[in-house]
Order: sequence, then structure tokens, then C-alpha cells
Amino acid sequence: MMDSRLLWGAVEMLILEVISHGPTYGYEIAQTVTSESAGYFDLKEGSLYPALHRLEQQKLLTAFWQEVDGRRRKYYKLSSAGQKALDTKKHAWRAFSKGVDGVLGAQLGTV
Amino acid sequence: MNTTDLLADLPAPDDSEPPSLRSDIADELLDHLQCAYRREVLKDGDETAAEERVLDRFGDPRKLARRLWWQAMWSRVMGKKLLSGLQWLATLAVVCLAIVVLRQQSEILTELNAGRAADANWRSNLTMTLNELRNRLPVQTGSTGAAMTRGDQPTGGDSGSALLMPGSAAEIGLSRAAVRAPALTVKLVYESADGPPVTDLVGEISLSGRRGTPLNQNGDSAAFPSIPGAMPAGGSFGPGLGMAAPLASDVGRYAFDGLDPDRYELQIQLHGQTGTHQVAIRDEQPQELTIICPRPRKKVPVHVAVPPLPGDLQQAGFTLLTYKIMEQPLMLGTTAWIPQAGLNIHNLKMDVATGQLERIEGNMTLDLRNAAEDNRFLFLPAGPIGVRCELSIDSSAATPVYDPPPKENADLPFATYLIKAGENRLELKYSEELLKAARVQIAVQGDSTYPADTADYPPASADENTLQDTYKLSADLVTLKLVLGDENGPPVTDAAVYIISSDRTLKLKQILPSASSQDDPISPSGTGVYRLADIKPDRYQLQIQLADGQHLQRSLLVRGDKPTKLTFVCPPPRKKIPVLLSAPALPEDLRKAGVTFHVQIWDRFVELKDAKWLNTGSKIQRVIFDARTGAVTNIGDPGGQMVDVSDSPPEDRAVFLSTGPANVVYTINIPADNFLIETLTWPPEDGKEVHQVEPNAERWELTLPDELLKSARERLKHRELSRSS
Repeated sequence: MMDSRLLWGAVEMLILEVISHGPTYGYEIAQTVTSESAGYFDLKEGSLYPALHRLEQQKLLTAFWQEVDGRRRKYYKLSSAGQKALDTKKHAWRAFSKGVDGVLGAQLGTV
Repeated sequence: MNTTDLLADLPAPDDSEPPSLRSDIADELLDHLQCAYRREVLKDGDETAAEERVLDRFGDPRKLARRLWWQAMWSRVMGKKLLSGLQWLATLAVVCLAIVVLRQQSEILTELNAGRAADANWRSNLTMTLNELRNRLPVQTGSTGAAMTRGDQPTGGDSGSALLMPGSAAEIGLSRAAVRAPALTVKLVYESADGPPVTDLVGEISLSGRRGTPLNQNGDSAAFPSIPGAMPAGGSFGPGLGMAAPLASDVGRYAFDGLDPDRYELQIQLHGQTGTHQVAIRDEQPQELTIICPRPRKKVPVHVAVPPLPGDLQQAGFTLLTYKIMEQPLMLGTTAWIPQAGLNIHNLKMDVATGQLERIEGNMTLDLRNAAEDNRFLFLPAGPIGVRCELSIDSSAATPVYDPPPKENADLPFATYLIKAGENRLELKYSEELLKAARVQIAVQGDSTYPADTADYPPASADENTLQDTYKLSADLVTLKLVLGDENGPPVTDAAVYIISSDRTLKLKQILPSASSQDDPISPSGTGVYRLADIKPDRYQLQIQLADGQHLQRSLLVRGDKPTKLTFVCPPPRKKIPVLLSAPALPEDLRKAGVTFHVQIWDRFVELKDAKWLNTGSKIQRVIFDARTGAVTNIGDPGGQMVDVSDSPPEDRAVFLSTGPANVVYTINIPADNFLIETLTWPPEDGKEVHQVEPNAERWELTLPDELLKSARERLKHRELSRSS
């Protein structure tokens, strides 16, 4: 299991990434994250929905409602600010990942 | 769990809470729970276990609902607390200030009283001294004593009288004010600057909110009456100041006195109309204004007539024709006169074929469809009125076209007519611009003589001057073509197509066949081409709903640089047909162990060209079989009531299934200890057993999967071993 402190910073990036492919809703986001990560990430509802609402309050997401099978379903879609934030987070993550890989690679090379 | 349970832990609502917050939270979480539950049920068919698994994973939904509520309300609650804290501090500051002021007032009062006492003492001493002097000097000798006592008092005459006449100076001041010229004189005349004076002012003339006393020219200008109930405000306002008084010497003139240099608004109320005029008093020099006033503005019965709408617009469906008649202020000179009752707007509905007035909507709605010809009029005040014609293709008036603003008066978005007192007929007409705009709308929204390929829009033959601006606005048209079965299939004419954005849902209009193609045998009711204009470039959600309930959702990118054109191949309609289900009997070893089985069947989406068409309203059906014979015994909804058909004849045990693909899950139930039932399902979690229900299918013979039977036997064997050990 991944260190929760590392995971926490990535949750919002994962959510934004999933939503960037088109409007979607909470349950589908959780399922997509689980399946795309081959089960490595398991977004609990207690983390997912507060994060979604926080991103909506920060105007990174916009939401709309639609009726499905007689129920109201809340769809989220990425705002232009959200797209920028996602790009920034992805860039930072790749830089971080590259840096860590570099160090780990160097260490492994000396063994 | 329902909405009430979910929201049970939330605090009581208050005014600062958005009205939909609670229902939004509840709906979102309940939708999640329902999705999770459905997925879990499919694993093994056991609803109780599925519910437990969902709640185990989810945790307490009430806690999450409470957390989301606080997250939404945090800033509001904190803001409210901060505000109430600030209010408390402000109240405290006011109380402290009041105490300080009261204390200071008390000190000043004490000093004043002490001063008065000293003054009275001094006056008493002085009187006594004077009396003593009078007693000592019975014959007047001069003013030396008075001059020694009050050097600044007027000298000469009786010194005692001079000392005891404080009112004399005020009287002198009043007589000086009475002879001063008024700061502003207003002359009211009728009709023109040199017209007859207004001698019948029954109303009010006031300046900058200071109420003047209603006066007429017979009032007495020599005595300025005070303003009833007015309180003196500073040195510039008091009795006789800031109000109009008629000047008896000149009929129709009214005076304002005591005005400091400033900007003022002069308001005259006359004959139910209010005239407003801006006045600037620059210095002490008196000014005179001449205001042209209207005669009483009477209402006139006016018959409105309009020619029939041109035939091509009637044929295109322009069924709603509204004339807006807007009463206008009367401008006389630079003064605008507005009726005190306000300016009315009348919406006139006209019959497009006859041009007759059918309905008047305004303060009162009048239906004149059955009225006599001479009764089809409306009352309008004599004077200017604004007129604007509005046309719309349908009664929803989603995109009406208007008369453009007249070039000669671009400030007003309507043409102006003058209703004269003797006039009783208003002949209206359609402007060329309006008719052009209506024809452009037909071209954009529905006339199939314009090609569906919007790259060719506008057609070369079109009037460029008319269409060019519209084309620029509509460059990002969305055009969808729906065909049945394959790309060369017939058009789908009974679909509903929507584009959904975060704030609204737009419905695409289907292009109707033109008169020349009405004999088209394939699409008598439509072309299968759905179109929307004037949509902003953005990402949207597209929703296509077919008449039989199948629907498709996908994202849609509307670009700003070229029209969006897509073709969708739609699946054939899905119909419910009765199908007789049967299954083989369970092997004897399993039957003897008490094993039973059932299946769950539901509509699978139809996949065409990477698009998944879901069936709205499709439900999971559970079918229970007799383990001994394989015949159907119960049919129903997993969450609802099961219908027992075990006593029905075999031909009445049919299950209604939609034509097309169906998902099937087989479930074996193994009785366990403690009255529990262990269930095994096939296919496994991510697998799908798909069966095609053909339109002419009458029977469906199910085969119990070998893997499932094998698992059941292993489970029974394992249980037997556990017991024996």
C-alpha cells in the first residue's frame, strides 16, 4: 500500500484526470480510478465526495444534474481553470517522479 | 436508506442555507449507493449481502452527508458568526460613545447653569445699580452710564429702552429678507414658451424633494406661509424658505427663495402627470425658468390594423405575432412628463392570416377573438407611443425576431408613433428588415432547401447583405444526422436530441421537409437532420433519445472555427415480446442437497459504431425455476414482488423480454446451516453472458453452466468434510 501522504496529494490529480475525459459522476470516477490503476488505488467515498465538492467550490469543476432511471445524478465536468490546474499538477508530478526515478536509479546502479 | 434517514444528523436549516443543498447531497449519495448496490447484487444475487457489502465499504452515509453539508456551509456559518461578532462590537462601541456624550453633555449643562446663575446675579446687581442711579438722579443727564455698561449697543434715545429691546434687530432682518428677490422664479405655460400661463395648477410644485404647499395663482405672495409639519434644517431651511409661492403681480409665476448654490430637481405635478427638470443655482443672482406644461393627456380608443403576414412566413409556421405598444413620456422642451399612473405596455396578438387584433395583454387581458369588428380597439394616451413587432416560429418564442431599432432614433429599440386626440386608427406595417430576419431564421433552423452541409451555408443565391451577419453568429452550428441500421439507412425522424451544458438543456430542431419533397416516401414527417444554431463553442453532453426508449449519451465538442456535423447510426426499435423460458432439471445429487437455481436477465446496451445505446427504464427480471422439472415457477423484479406462476399453464409462464441483446446471470442457492443460503453465480464478476433475443423468438432454452454445477458440488463436498472433521 502506498504511503497515504503521497497518495493524498495525488487524489485530486487523479479525479481531475478522470473527469478531463468527459462529464462523469462520483461512482463512475471511483470505479475508473480503481480499474485504471489495476486496483492499486481504491478511492473511498469518504474521500472522494469531499474532494469533488472542494474542487467544485474552487471552480475547478462544474456540476450539472441529469435524471437517470428515475434518479437525479450529479455529473461533474472540468472547467477551463480545472484543465489548467490539471496540467500544472501533471507537470509537477512528472518532474517529481523523474527526480525520484533518477535518484533511485543512481542508487540501484551503485549496488 | 432514504433521504430523511440520510439527512437525519444535519443541523436545523436556516435562511443562509441554499434551498437545494440538502436534497443535492442526498440525491448524490443515494445515487452512489444505488449504483454500488446494483453492482454488488450482480455478483451473487443476494440482496442482503450486497447491501451489507455496500455499507461496509461506504461507511455511515449520514456522517458523509454531514461532512459535505459542513463543507458547503463552512464559509457561510463562519461569516455569520463573524458578522454577529462585529455587530456585538459595534453595539458596544455605540454604548460607550453614548456614555461619553452623555457625560460631556452633563458637564456642559452644569457649566451652563452656573453661567446662567452668574448672569442672573449680574443682571440683578445691574438692575439694582440702575435703580439706585435713577433714585439718585431723577432728571436725565445723558448716556454716559449706558455707554460705560454696553459699549456696542446703539446709542441715543432712552438708554434703558435700548437695553431692553432684543427683538428690534430681528424685525429689521425680516424686513430686509422680504424685499430680497427670489432665488428662482418658475413660469409655467401651456403648449409653447409664449403660450398661455398655467393658471389652474392643482397639484404640487416642489424643488429637490422639499415639499411645497399646493398653491394657485390666487395665493398671497406677501406672506410666505410656512411648510406644514416641516422642521427647520440648519440655517438655510425654515419657515418661508425652500418652497414655491405664487407672485400675485404676474400670473403663472412661482417663486423659490432661500436657495443655496447647488443642483436641484424641479418637480411639477399637473393634471396627473409629473414633469421633472434639472436646475442649477450658481450664485445669488435670481434665475427665471419657463416650463412648458402639457394639457390633460386623454386616452383615445385606437383601432390597430396590420396587413396579413406574407404567405411564405405563414407557411413556415410563424404563428405568433406580437405587437408591443409602449406608452412614452411626453417631451416638452427639455422636460419629460410621465403619467403618475406609470407607462403601460400592451402586448397585442394579431391573427397572421387576417391581421386582426385577437388579444390584448397588459394590466388587463382581453380576448377579442369573438368581439365585434368595431370593438377591437385599445385605449392609448394621446401623445407618443413606441411600437415594435415581434415574430416567432412557435409559441415558445425561443428565438423571436424583432423590428430593428429605427435608424433615426437608435436610442429607442422601437418605432415611435404619435397618437393625436382626434385619431382612432393606427395602421402598422412590417418593416423589410423584420421580414428579412424572419426568412433568415427559416434558413438557419428548418428550411431544407438550404443544404444540411453547413459548409455551403449561406447559399450563393441568398441575399448576402441579409445573411452575412447571421452566418457569422451561426458559424458554430451543430448538425446531426440520424439514420437507422447503417449509414445508408432511412432517416430517424422521431428522435429527440438535446445538448446539455452546465446551466441549460437545448433541444435541436429537426429540419422539416420542404414542399418539394413532401412526397418523399421515406420521411414524410422529417428529414432525420437535427440542427441547432447560435451555440457557443464548448464541450457539451449530447443526448439522443429514440422513440422506443433507447438513448445515447456522449460528449460533444462544438468548435468555433467550423460547424459540427455528425452522423449517428441508430439501432432498430426494441420491442417487448413474450418468451417461454425453460432449463434442464438440476442433477439429482444437487437436488437432494436442497440446491435451487434462478437467473437474472436484463437488457444489454446495443453497440453500434462504438456508440452504446442504453434502454431507458429497462429492469432486471429474476426468474426462478423448479429444480426438479426446470419449469418457471416465479417471475419478478429482484427488489419487488415475485409473481408465482407455478399453477399457470406452461404457455402462460412467458417472460417479457426486449428484442436485442440481453445479459444473463445464473445463480445456484445452496442451503447452509443456521437457515442461511449460500449463493454461487456465473459468469464471474467481470464476465458477461449475452443472449440475443430475436424478434421472432418464442422459446429460450437455458443451459446451466458446467462451471457452476462443479462449483456447487465442490462447495457441498467442502461443507461435508468440515462437518465430519
